[in-house]
Amino acid sequence: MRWRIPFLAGKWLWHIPCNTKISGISYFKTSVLSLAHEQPLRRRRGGRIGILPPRLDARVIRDYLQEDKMLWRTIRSMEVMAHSSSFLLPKLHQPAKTPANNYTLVVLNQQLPRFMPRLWAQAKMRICADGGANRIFDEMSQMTNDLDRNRYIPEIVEGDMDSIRPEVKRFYSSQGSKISDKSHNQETTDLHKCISSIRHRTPDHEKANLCVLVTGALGGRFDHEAANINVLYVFSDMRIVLLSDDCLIQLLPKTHHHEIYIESSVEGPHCGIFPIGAPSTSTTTTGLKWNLSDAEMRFGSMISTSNIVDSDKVTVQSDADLLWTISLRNLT
Amino acid sequence: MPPLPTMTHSSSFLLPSSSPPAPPTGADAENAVSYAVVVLNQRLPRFAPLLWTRARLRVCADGGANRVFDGMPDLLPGEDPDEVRVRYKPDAIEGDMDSVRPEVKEYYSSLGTQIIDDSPDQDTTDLNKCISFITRNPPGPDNSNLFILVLGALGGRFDHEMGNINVLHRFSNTRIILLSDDSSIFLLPKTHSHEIHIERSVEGPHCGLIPMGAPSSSSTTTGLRWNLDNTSMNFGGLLSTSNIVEEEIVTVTSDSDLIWTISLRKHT
Repeated sequence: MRWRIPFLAGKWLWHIPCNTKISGISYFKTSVLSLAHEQPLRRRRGGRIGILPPRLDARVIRDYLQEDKMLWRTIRSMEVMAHSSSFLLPKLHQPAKTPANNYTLVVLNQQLPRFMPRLWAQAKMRICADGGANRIFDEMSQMTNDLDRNRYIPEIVEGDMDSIRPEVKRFYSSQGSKISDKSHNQETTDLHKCISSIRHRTPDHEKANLCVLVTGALGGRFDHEAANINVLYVFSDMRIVLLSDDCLIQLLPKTHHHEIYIESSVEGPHCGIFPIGAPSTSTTTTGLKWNLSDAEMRFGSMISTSNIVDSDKVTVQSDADLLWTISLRNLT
Repeated sequence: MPPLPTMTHSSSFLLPSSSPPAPPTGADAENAVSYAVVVLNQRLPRFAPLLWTRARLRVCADGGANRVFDGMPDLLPGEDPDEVRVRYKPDAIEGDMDSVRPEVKEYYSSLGTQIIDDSPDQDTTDLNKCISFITRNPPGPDNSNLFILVLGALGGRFDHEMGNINVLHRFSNTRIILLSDDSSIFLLPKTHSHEIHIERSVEGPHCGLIPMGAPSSSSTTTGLRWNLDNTSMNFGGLLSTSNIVEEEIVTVTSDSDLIWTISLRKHT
């Protein structure tokens, strides 16, 4: 008898009673995949799950698996996380339902990317991190040929306020920006403060849809860049995308299978995947010119650079948190 | 457990030519440091002419040759561009030649620059190939006191930057320093305890220590404002960034390879 059992993570299990002969398979990772491929669960010490009671529901399965917490976590965690850069498209071309339609924009203190006017216009909220306000004040009008600074007012200016010029702060304050002075906190970077506030201000039911785009996080001083990348890891349950003129980067947490939908009109083909912070013993991808197949990656050995996107959809699964990057193009 | 051997580091190559660099150990000619410069395809930092003159071997990676051709005269505005180009001629241009402009390649080739045409190789980046070339053709008697200074390795496409940082990890026995206008970075291998001599006139005060490839469960430093004391560092947790150099010698010991970074001062 085969039963299809609804499972909490939205996946289906197949249970095959122990008298059925099924070819052997290895345990954890393959077992997770085997859920999709209709193979039985196996206990760590061999053997198959015994016959389950006739009334099957998620609670029964969960209790049954409670003993084997590792498998539970492995199964539970392999939800799919979808990624899309549709926020880079002009508004008219955006598909109707996208995960990243409503984003908060954070502007750090580096030269604005050339596509800033579009990012600014389509943002749900705009936050300047300290000297990022100087950048908007100085550079936005040149980019848009619009001398009216009143059209580019951030909702919030936040940070330790040691870079923002006094006249810039006064101007935005007078135009209604909330000035959030966090100078008492010298432990964290301006980006960290901004992300932390965004998270704090977002009601729980909206957290899953939250997306933050950050400009000016890359380049410049290398320790700042590393600290900004670290923010992706510290807030790994949020969608945060770091943008530069040349590329975007975002975290692919190991807790999920990843499906990255490629907007080929504005991104690609150059891409890469990096095990920053910890090596990966097994990473598998599809959709790349040089796919990884259960591959090891670590600094000092192989990492995936100068790869090429070869499909509309790239998938990644790994036992380590990975950083994904793709080049940007055709953005005005 | 025996103490780790010490590795000393110095950025004296950044000092202006009026103060010629002295090796920190005051060694004789046999131990004299020799420099090689690699130029990747990004805008030259302002100190490129200084490093070029210090170096005994200069290699451009493909489009890096365009940067030297265009950028050196810009950095030496008081001088005749053609004379500058002849003086600042690379010893080799290496790569698949898809970025270097044909006229630039012709120009340097006619001046005697070695053109090494490599087919694109997924496993090695341009920097990787240049480092291999330099280690096979060292400017001095051997590689023991060779410092390879790389311009244009940071910024730009992030996957290139990561590939360049990976080169530091792959060639952990070779002294390679990545330089931009803003920062200098190099690897501190876990196999050694490190003494970093700070040239305050050209670098600092902002610095950091980053465990790029693997977490560190124990790192210890001296000479910083916020020293580490058997401290663990990892992405997702604590990294030492926006630290401040307080003394002329910074020491670092760690159970993991660390990237050391220090800001470079902007001269007027």
